[in-house]
Amino acid sequence: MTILSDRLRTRGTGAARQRALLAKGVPVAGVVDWLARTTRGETERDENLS
Amino acid sequence: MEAAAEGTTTIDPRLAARAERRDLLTLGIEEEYLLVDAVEPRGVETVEAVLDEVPEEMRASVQHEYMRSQIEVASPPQLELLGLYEAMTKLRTGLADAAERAGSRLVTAGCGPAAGPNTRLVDKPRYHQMRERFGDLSPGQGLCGTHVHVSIPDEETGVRVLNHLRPWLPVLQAATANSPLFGGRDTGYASWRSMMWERWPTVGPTPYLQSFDHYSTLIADLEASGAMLDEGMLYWYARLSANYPTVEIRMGDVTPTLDDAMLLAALARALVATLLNEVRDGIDAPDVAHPLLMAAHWRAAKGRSWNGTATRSW
Repeated sequence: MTILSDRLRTRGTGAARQRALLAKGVPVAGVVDWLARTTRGETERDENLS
Repeated sequence: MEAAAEGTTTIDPRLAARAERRDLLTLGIEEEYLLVDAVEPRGVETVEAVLDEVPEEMRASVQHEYMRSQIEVASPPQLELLGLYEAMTKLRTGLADAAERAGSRLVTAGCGPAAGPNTRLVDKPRYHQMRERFGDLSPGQGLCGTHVHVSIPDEETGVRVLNHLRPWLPVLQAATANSPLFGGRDTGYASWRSMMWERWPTVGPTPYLQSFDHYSTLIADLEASGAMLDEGMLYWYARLSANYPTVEIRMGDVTPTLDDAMLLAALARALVATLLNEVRDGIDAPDVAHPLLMAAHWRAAKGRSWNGTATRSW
């Protein structure tokens, strides 16, 4: 549970991560693409949005 | 927006025996997802095509949701988080593959992030009845949440756990916020789904309950009032499951990663286990005033962009 809560703290909530993408200039369509890839677990290893 | 109650179902006796031996509570998750177009980010009405593509071994765990641009999965009950993680990984991956074969993508967001036309209801009499009675309370492409089931020994104990859970649920709601965008714009909320969802007449904090009899009477009165069709529409943030011997914690958005979902599940089970001890020790739950709970849930939905001052008056 500690590992999971650490991951939430460093990555932020889903809302925070979506907004971080917008702040980087990613359009809404790109956010939806990120959500779709994250749903499949594809973004887990390489993302660092914190 | 699940199907009507069909009577309490027991958890597999072998799993229940293992839970008893190991002094663990069983745990399960339901997740609702959006279906979006393979190219454009808007919701699409592909649920029937996706269901046709779901492998036979997954079929019992997948069902319709309210809109044709949504789909829902339910994990089998588990004792270990790792087992839950593996089950949910298979469900998410298998369903995402099915969605792609059907020309769409599976998306974990509390509501439709992108602009697009409203999608239609699933063609089931119950959903048409809901639309007829309650009107257009959920416009868009669907509202998607996560529900966690944790086992309880009996209904009377479960009601006492529900009382103890009330002040803790805003924290879990805040941790799962995953719907800042709706219709292509930032809503100013971390969980816009929460704000849209609140419009249904039975959505909100669980009331402080005197007993299981009180709980049952409230359900009967709510049905009689017309505010819900049946017990399946009891949308309190925590409730006793109509189908399983569990409490169901159901205020959170569907989360982007399984890590987030596992954290919610782990916290929910730890919370229920802790609260069961308090119930057994005869500790009364704090009777937090309903308006304060509403305020706490609003803060959870608003997220970090709100800069007010926290108060505690219970």
